[in-house]
Amino acid sequence: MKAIKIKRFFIYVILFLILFVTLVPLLYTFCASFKSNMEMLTNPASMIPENPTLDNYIKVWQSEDFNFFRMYINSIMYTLVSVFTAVFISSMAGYAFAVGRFRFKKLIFTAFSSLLFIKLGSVSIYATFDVLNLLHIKRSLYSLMLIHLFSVPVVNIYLVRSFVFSLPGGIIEAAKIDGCTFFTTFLRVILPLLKPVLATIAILSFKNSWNDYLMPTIFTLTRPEQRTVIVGLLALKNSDGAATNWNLMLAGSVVSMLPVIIAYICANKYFVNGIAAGAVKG
Amino acid sequence: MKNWVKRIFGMMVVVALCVSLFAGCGQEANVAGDAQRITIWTTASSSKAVYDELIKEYNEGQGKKDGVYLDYQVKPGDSLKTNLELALQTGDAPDMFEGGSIKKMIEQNQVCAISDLPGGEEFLKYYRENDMLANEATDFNGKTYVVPRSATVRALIYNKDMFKAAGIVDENGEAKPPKTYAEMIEYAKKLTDPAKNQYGYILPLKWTGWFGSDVRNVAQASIGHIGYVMQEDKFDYKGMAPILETYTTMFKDGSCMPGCESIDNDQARAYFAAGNIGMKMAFSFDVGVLNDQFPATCDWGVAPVPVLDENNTYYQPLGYSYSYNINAESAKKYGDKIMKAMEFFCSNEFLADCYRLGVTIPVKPEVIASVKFDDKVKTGWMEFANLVADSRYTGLSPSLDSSNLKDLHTRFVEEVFNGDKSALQMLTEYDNDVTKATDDYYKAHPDEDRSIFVDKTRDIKIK
Repeated sequence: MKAIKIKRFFIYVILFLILFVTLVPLLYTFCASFKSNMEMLTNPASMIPENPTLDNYIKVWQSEDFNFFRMYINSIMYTLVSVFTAVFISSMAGYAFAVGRFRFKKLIFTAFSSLLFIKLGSVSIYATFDVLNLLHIKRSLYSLMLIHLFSVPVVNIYLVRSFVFSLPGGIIEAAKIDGCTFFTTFLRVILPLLKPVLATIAILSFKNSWNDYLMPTIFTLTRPEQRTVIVGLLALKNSDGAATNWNLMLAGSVVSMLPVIIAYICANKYFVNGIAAGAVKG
Repeated sequence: MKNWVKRIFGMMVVVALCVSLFAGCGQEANVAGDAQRITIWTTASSSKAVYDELIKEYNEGQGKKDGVYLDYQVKPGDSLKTNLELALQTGDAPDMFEGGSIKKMIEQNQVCAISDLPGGEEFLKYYRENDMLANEATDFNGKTYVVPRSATVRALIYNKDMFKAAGIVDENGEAKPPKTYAEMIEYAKKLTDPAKNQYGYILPLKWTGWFGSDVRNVAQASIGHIGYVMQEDKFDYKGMAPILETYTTMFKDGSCMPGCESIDNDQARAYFAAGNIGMKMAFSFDVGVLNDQFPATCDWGVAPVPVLDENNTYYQPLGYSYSYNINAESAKKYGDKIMKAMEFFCSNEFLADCYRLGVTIPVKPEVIASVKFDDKVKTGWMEFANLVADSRYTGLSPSLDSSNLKDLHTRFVEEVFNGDKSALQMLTEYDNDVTKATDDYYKAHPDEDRSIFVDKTRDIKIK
């Protein structure tokens, strides 16, 4: 009994430390957003502002560089397209690679798998631009979404493929006997069973897309009205005066975080269920 | 979740997506109307607020007559070069921009000469008549690509309250800033009181531009150059050793704010504005910072940069800001409109407004003379502006192959500040390295003429 209590005590200490490390930056961001830029630089260690001010929020709200609603809509649009693409492509591709029989299946899958080990990153940007030039498509957030439609989410394909392998083979046989084609088997039998893993993929894609900075910055270089929230936040840094505006950036960060935090509070059980279901088979 | 809630939520998402997709159309064209939109990229965040106002007035007034709509965008300085290269490579570059290597852009036909624009020669007449153009600064391969628009001067800013409290005053009881580096060391010691968190000086060594700004640039007033001796076509950074020793002495005797290695320039400005620092080197654009971004809580003044020997001084350092580079592709399509934009940014009226509002100091003396200031002028602005008459352009130095050349700031921090070498040793080594790097560059580029940087007649000594 005593051993269990000691064990529980240490578990709680570790959990508390993790909570502390996770929450303190958020708390600091919130508190520091009420400091002037001068106080932030001369007294960075203090959490509580000496002379709290709402000026930062007023400036952010009135800033032409941070049109909150427009940036939010841009971010939502971009994220939804990325999530939809990831779910759509990985579900069908994962099923096809798990169950399908077609020529060069192994070769194609090996080629896709090789992308797991090669992170092209910014190297592929010029090639991407060349393709867009050939198609006479201008750089914008919409062309970036178009590029995402042709992306290969390798990790997600692996997840779905593994999940399909874990399903009893009899399900697919039974669907065939009932007259289902390859596609209708996927649509009516497999897809409903893929919900947990697709929820996981959706959540991970949402997180990656919402926080994506490099590609949205490059594609909205000449179109500031199409900036996403993350790109707009960093633009706030240099929006006013020769010195960096950390105060405006932190206030902008709080304003940007609020809707996401509210959405999480409302729907957190679905997030947790989705991640947990993705981790547990069947 | 109930089915009907799910369906309504799904419908809302779809509607929001569709509406926002439509919202993405047509916004750009509506703002400019029938006028030609001219996009400008700059890193000048210090003047953004004023420029935005003046450009808005232009767009709503004269711009409509000229058929021009100016879209002025401030980009972060650390990423502008990369963004610009990408934009130029992909044909998405702005119409006018600053930054980037102009020589490289000329080689790749990415920029257009002002003289090639309609009305360009007429525009350049004033600058030619007043000898304001120079090879390798404004002119390349016999053509003018940019013109000087505004000047930036250097000065020592000082906390008058701290000076008065420490008794460093003149016969009228006014704060007396140092004239020499020896006085600077002495005053810094008197001004330091760790109990009040007050220090005589601050060294923002985290800022990689510190050496160029606070040592190299200000050295002109003491030694007549900033490293390259134009009259003799040689490098002589050794002359800056006493200035470096001033800073190391102040650090060693505790007159500098602790934690130099982790302080950047923004923090240094903030500490000065908060009244903790006695003295700091500054640029004229720091007036905006100390009035608007970090409103100073102390009474502060502006003084000429100190010198090594009061009896052997040179003109104070002055740098130029140039007009924007012109995108060659844009010039082909609507060069006449770009010329209108160029004329606006270089016009006497615009430069006078910027001067009056405390953001830039014009290079044209007649513009400076035409401006009358009211009592709303920013603190310190008049003092900086008055230094222009005692300042001269620092000039250019020959190109060099910097691929294996460790910069001065890094050398100072790693070798001198840590006590491994003396300032003289480090600078002597740098003299040798930079001489070699320059010689190597011209060996690899025999078609380039190094002699254009030589000026045997240059004389900026104060008699």
